[in-house]
Amino acid sequence: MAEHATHDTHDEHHDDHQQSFFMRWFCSTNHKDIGTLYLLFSLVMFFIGGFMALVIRAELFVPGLQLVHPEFFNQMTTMHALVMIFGAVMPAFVGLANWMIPMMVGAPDMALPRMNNWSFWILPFAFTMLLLPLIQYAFFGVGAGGPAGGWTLYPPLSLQGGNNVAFTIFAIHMMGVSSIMGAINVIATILNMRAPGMDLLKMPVFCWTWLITAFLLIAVMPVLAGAVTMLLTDKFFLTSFFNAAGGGDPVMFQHIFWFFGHPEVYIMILPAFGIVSEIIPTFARKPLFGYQAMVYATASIAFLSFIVWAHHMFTVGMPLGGELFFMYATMLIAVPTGVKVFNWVSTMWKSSMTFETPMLFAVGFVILFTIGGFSGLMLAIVPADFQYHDTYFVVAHFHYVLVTGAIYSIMAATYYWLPKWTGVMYNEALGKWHFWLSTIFVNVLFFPQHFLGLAGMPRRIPDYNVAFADFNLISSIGAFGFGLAQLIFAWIVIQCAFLGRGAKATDHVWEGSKGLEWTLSSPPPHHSFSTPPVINDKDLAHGDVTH
Amino acid sequence: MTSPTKPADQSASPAEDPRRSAALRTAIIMGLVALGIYGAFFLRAILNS
Ligand code: HEM
Ligand SMILES: [Cu+2]
Repeated sequence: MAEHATHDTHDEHHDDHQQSFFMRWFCSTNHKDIGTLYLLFSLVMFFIGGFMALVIRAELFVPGLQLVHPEFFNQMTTMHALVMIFGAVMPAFVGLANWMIPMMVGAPDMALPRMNNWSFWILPFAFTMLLLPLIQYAFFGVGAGGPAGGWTLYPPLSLQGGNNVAFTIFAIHMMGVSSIMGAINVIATILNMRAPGMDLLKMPVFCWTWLITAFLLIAVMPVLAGAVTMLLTDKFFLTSFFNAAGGGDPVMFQHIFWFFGHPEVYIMILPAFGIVSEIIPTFARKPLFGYQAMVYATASIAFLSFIVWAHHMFTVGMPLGGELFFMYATMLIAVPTGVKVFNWVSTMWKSSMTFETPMLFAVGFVILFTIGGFSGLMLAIVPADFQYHDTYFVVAHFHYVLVTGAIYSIMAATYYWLPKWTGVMYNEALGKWHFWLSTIFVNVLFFPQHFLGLAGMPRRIPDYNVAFADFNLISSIGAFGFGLAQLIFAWIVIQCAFLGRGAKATDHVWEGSKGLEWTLSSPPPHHSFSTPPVINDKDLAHGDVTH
Repeated sequence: MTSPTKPADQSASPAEDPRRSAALRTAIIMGLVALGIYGAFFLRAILNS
């Protein structure tokens, strides 16, 4: 084992930068390069998943069936969710963790660099597996297409697919292995590799939120793996875990799935909380209000996320006691979440703010994510959920928390750190265009879906009653506007990262930026902090926790 | 703060960094926890069969 530890310290010979393209990118053990790979992978997946979303919205533009077969429509909704959750949002956060955590805690690299390489390179294979049945069907007319039973994979429906079931389950296992290894690396890096003097309670909030997220991942990814392994044996190996005819219970799948699924939604939002907690103090030029409260609120949210799962299955026929427990437990989450929102607002209160693009996205996050939180609270009310469940109201809810929440934070983080990563300042005017177009269209896209849901339009259907026509039309227009706005984002990233076009970024980049990463050059050297930096509390963003 | 902007210091070989063996221990423990949670499902299934 000690042998292993020695071997993981790859880096000595890489400093000359004379590595071949293959060695640098495919055999990379450098946290910055692997971070870049994750982020680029995520961007590609964001556009693939976005294309699927546009197929959905194009079909729903007007009532009636016009563009795609209902079966294909179902494949689009299923694959859109799987690609966005596991391909876009999660890898983006892992990429940000890779880039930022070692620099933020003053470590030379992630703790296990070779495992880090493996975590990333599993993903392209996993997503090839996931997409293959769909690609075969859509482009070559072979087979029956991808999974179509919804991303939640409820049996018996999900098992009625063809061989794509095996592909999907194999892909999910691989993604799980990748996420678990990524999480292990984050935990080992934060717990063991911090520079001397970087106490846990001096770490940037982003590191804290990621540490807690990593524990969530380790706790629930094996649960998802267990659930899908049982699906696999039910389909191909004659077991009856979820088959009532064989003595199994399909509702048990839902319990196991959501025991993973609810913590999973927090896996996708806790790092976002961390990012926003970095950005707001920088542009408010004021330390984060209530640093410790933020850390404890994150930990309480993580704890509570394990005891609320059945709010996704209120209508399945649980005993009244169960309904009440899960209703009140869910509502409790609003307390630590509220603490966070108030702390962000208090940080901005009477501060000297400026609104560069990262700040715009961060403030947009605070406002729009909170709308998603409110609709969540409505869904938590059992009798109300009996009406809202499986309608577009749920779709509106989770897109507010995921698009204007998780995705907005990823956009904010990209604008915030892109000059640090590339050494090139992005085009601020284009960034503002991207923000404002996105923010207008995302609301045109998702706000009407609340009304559709309240009026009773079910989710996951390719056709609908003419009564729903107007709001669907508006929503589809918003979707295409939002999609087009993202091309600006891609162009901005390409300009900085690949064309090197733009003003040269200073080391500090932002007037109010604090923390170790800003003491490095822009772009930072290939290897940073090989000798641990000396920590000087007043230079840290959150060094003085008495705030 | 030292000047971390200077190129990586070659003299401190990360290979001798004692933090790495501690990190490996953390990693193995977390890996076993994950495997244990996954395995628990099948232990139960086998015991029930
Ligand atoms: C204030 C906190 C929140 C509350 C009280 C809440 C409550 C709920 C409830 C009760 C449902 C089930 C609705 C139904 O199917 O009838 C739901 C669905 C959902 N929530 Fe939330 N939620 C909250 C925050 C979040 C966050 C932060 C995320 C992700 C970042 C999220 C993502 C989702 C997703 C993806 C679904 C739909 C899953 C599906 O059926 O496909 N929620 N939420
Ligand atoms: Cu939930």
